[in-house]
Amino acid sequence: MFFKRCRPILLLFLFCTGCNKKEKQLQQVLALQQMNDLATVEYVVTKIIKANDNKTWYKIGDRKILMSCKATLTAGIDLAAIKPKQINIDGKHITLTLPHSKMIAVNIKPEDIVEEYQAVNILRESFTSEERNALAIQAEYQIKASIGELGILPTAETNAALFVNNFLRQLGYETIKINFDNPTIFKN
Amino acid sequence: MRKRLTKYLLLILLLLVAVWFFQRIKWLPSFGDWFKSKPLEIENTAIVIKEINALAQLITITAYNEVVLDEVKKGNAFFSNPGIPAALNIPNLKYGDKELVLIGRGKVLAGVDLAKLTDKDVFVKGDSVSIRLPKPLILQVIINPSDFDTFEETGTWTDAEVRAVKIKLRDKLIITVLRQNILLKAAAKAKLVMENFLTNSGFKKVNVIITPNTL
Repeated sequence: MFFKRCRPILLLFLFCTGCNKKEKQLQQVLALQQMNDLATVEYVVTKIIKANDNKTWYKIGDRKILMSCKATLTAGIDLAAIKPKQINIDGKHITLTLPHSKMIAVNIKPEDIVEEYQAVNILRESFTSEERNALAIQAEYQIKASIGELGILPTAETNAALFVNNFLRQLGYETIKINFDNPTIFKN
Repeated sequence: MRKRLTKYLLLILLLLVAVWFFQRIKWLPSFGDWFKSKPLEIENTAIVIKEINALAQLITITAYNEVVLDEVKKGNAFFSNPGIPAALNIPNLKYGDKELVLIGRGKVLAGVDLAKLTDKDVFVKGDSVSIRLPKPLILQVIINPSDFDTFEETGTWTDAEVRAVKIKLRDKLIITVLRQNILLKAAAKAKLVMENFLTNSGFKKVNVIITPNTL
């Protein structure tokens, strides 16, 4: 009798709780991609990964971990962005406009993430490989987020100008002028 | 009595619906959240620049691939000396096997290292240029922590053991990608990029040779 009367409310409750799942979008990547990037600088950075798992009220005892991580950041310029109109030649004098630098790669090798210290209370389980990897992922994102502050892109431009200058001199040019134009592209 | 009970039950149900509604509009935390583990977050520590190296790498191909590695470690026996269980007349018990199945999505960058270019590799005469590029190489293999998925993990895996499995998986990725002939493709593309650059730099006759790869 009771359930018969409350059936609409129960149905509404079930309907509303059962329809909040979103479909995950499939990621599509090209197996082979052609590039024209000239990598001109590599920054080797390090970071300490520090985590303390003591924020859940019902888990008794501490569990903390300390890992060290090294990442290699590579930046350079896109050579395909140099169009004929961006090159002016007058005898042995050349003026070239290079595109602004961009990030090419952030590389954290598996051997560069090392667990330095781990303290686990007797009532707690030690860190699994999945948990350690999840911490390393957070470090990876923090490194990627700090790229702008590291000054890698201006260094990449300076090195690109230096390399192109030396290369053009090797090709026989005497006066070389190098400029940069397009806005800076951040690509992780 | 029955009527009273129905009334109370209806009241409880209405209360539950009200709680559910307020949780839905985020005025109350959900029941699940009360017993949910707080996510483990790392502290925002400093990033220290250790080295700055100048490069001159022409990256012409990026190969993406996904590989799976299943590593099983057999459990050790309780007694290191097999004579002990025999003497005690008990079976030689072993710890359980442990298994780690990792999925890795990585990318391999290939191209030529222009830093190896010497004066002997460049020959210029009037509006003609001939250049010999170094042999194509795998310049970087990128398989970051976010590119790994743990599909199965049984038993306790130490940090060093997991690292060894990840390195093995990266080696498998390199082998898979090399089978796609990426070095040949990288060489062909490097030749094209260099030809375009030299033509745009004012040379009428351009000859780009790639040092053959002995791999």
